[in-house]
Amino acid sequence: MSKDALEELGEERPTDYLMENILAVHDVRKTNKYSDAVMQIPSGLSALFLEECGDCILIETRGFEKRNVDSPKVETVVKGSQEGFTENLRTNVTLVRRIIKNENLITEMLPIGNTNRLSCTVMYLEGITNTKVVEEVKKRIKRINADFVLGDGMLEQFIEDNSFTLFPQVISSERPDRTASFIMEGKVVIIAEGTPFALAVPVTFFGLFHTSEDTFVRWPGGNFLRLIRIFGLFCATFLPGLYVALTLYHIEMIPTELLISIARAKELVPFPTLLEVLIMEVSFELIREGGIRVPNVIGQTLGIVGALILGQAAVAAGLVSPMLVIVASITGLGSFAIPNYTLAIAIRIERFLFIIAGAVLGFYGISLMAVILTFFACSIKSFGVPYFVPVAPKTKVNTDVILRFPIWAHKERPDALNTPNKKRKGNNVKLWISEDEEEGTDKEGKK
Amino acid sequence: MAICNKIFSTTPGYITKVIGNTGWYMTLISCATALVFFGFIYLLLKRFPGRNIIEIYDASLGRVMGFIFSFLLMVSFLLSVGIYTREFTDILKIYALPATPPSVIIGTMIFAAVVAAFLGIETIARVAKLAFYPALVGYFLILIFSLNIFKPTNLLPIFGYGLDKTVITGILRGSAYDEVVILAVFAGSLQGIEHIKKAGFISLLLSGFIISSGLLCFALVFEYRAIQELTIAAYVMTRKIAYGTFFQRMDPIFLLLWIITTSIYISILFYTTVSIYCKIFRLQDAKPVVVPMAVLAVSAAIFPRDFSSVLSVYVQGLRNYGNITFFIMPAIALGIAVIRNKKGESKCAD
Repeated sequence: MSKDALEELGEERPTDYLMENILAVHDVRKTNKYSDAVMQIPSGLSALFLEECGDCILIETRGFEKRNVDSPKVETVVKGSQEGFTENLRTNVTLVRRIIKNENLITEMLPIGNTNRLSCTVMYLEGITNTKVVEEVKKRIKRINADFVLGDGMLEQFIEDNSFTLFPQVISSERPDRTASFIMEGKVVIIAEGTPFALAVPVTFFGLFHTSEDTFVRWPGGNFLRLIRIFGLFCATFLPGLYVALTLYHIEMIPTELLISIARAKELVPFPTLLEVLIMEVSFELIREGGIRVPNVIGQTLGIVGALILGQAAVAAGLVSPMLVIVASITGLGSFAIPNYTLAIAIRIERFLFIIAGAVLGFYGISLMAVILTFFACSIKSFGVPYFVPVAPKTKVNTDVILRFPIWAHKERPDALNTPNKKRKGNNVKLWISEDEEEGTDKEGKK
Repeated sequence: MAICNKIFSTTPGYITKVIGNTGWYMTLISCATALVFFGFIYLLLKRFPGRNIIEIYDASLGRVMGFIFSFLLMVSFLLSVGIYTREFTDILKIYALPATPPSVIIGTMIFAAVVAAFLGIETIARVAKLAFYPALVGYFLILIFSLNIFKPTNLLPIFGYGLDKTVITGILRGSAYDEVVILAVFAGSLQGIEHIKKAGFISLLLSGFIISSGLLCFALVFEYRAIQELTIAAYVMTRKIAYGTFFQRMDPIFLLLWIITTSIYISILFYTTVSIYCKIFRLQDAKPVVVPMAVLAVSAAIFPRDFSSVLSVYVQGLRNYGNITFFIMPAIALGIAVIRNKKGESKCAD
């Protein structure tokens, strides 16, 4: 810029003049901190320095290659939105903003990782989210002292309350609609650059059984699906352990007809029950892990065919009993019914603990193991919220925690989140009913 | 849960031996006795707001007598941990794990209590709350499924071995509800005296109903002479349940229920023992006390020579003399506090 031109500007700063009159870019801002400029340049922004000027202009010139918005890969639903997050942070924020069109939706950008300086956003609804939770989330993110943080998986491990527990303390979703519902509930959402997932905190155990589909289907269907998932959790956790305990220690408890079937099926198997169960469960885990690693096209086929052929062959070879194949299959299906991946992994690990407990001490071992694990689970808190609310400790009954009431009954946000604005709906949600009555119309709309 | 667990123990058989088939209303008399004594405990706590019973003993009786009273309370809880663990172990050996050494069962049960003690009262309370609902549903399911084997004539004669015997035994066995004193141990940490009052009275009434309904079902299923011979009536009753050729024998449900509730019960008693000890010696951190206390609890569990001595001497000793440490001592402390005009100033909850 020439000296004459600068003089002509008079009192006005040259950076302001350039920003207002010359630069035709929608997102420009100025900074007088060199460190700020240095931090933004690797993120794709351009910095414009002017001679004899104390400010520099940061210009939004990011143009990374990015994937288009696609359907979710993990959280698929039959009813509801078919849109999932991408690896691009701005796209993800926009996807959420498109659902919550509210001026109080706050998006705060925070850098994480001392060396790689990954961007992440903290999203919450001002006036609805508990400010203490927001402050706590920001405090934990800011105080991560690690040189390299890669996406939400690592971030989750850095900010969770207890690292030595199997249970997840942060919930992850790849669906913008579900993320928006977390924000509307009063949770804080964290989206990290580079991964198509959003994290939400605080989380409770019962919240891990929710899916987007629960909201889209009518409440009886939603409840049915939730109960199926809880039953799936029970099968995935206890079934092989109970089988081992029953066949090793408590044979007299099995009804006679069933006992005869089990005994007949086990007649030719040379292995002890514990080894038989472990062979089957480890094989199942191998198939599952193998199915994920091989290319998508043959992955699913490998899973199903592998399980069928292996199970059939193992029975034919007399390595395992057909009864055990049924037990392992139901267990596997149960673990697939758990909607949260981290919880499903935790259950897969716990299952082996229960198998060993059942083999060592029968029902007593299983019960005691269940109590000990429950002790640990009940000691967990997620950002100050006890893990088993609203049951233990008891909080105000919410209409969408364990079971789901009709949609008009969801009048309040979860009590445990302690949100400043608890009300979600008015006392009369279906105003049209009273209006129809006032107008004197019947159900068919006739006067 | 701590109080109701006794319905799964050897108690129903023993009381039938003493008073016949009137256990179901005898327990209501015990419950009423416990309510009266809890009234005294409530008055004592009200006189010293925000303080626990250990601090109250010190304030009311002086440091030396207060120490003796508190120490006796701790010993009673420690003995309860040991004796009930041993009772559970021997019954489990009879019905489910005949080849397992008792030390394994005792050790693992105390290990669970140690884990609970390390995690603290908040966690124990949450687990108890979480387990309460399925336990209650399972318990009443067992009672409902037994409907088809009820024989109403088993309730006759309605006064059993005599009304006087039932009433006296009922009053003496008020200690069956002695776990309500746990509220007084943790009074300083609870949300005020009114909360303690509500929790105490509701838990006693609810326990009275649960235990009474259980004893009534046992009396309806078994003739009084038969029930005396049963080590644990609830287990045998679940084995008698049969609807068709497949839906029969509910003992797996019973076993799970019994073991889970007992392990939580033992954990509560154990943590209370540790907590009283720490309060007596004014220790801030309970963790160093947990393992030594576990060693004492295991020793107390191993001490009885055989199962018959556990039942006839130790369990009944606790039932008959438990009243003294759990109910009468707080009443004495209240009386002395009134005579000496000792009162506590309002103190915030811990």
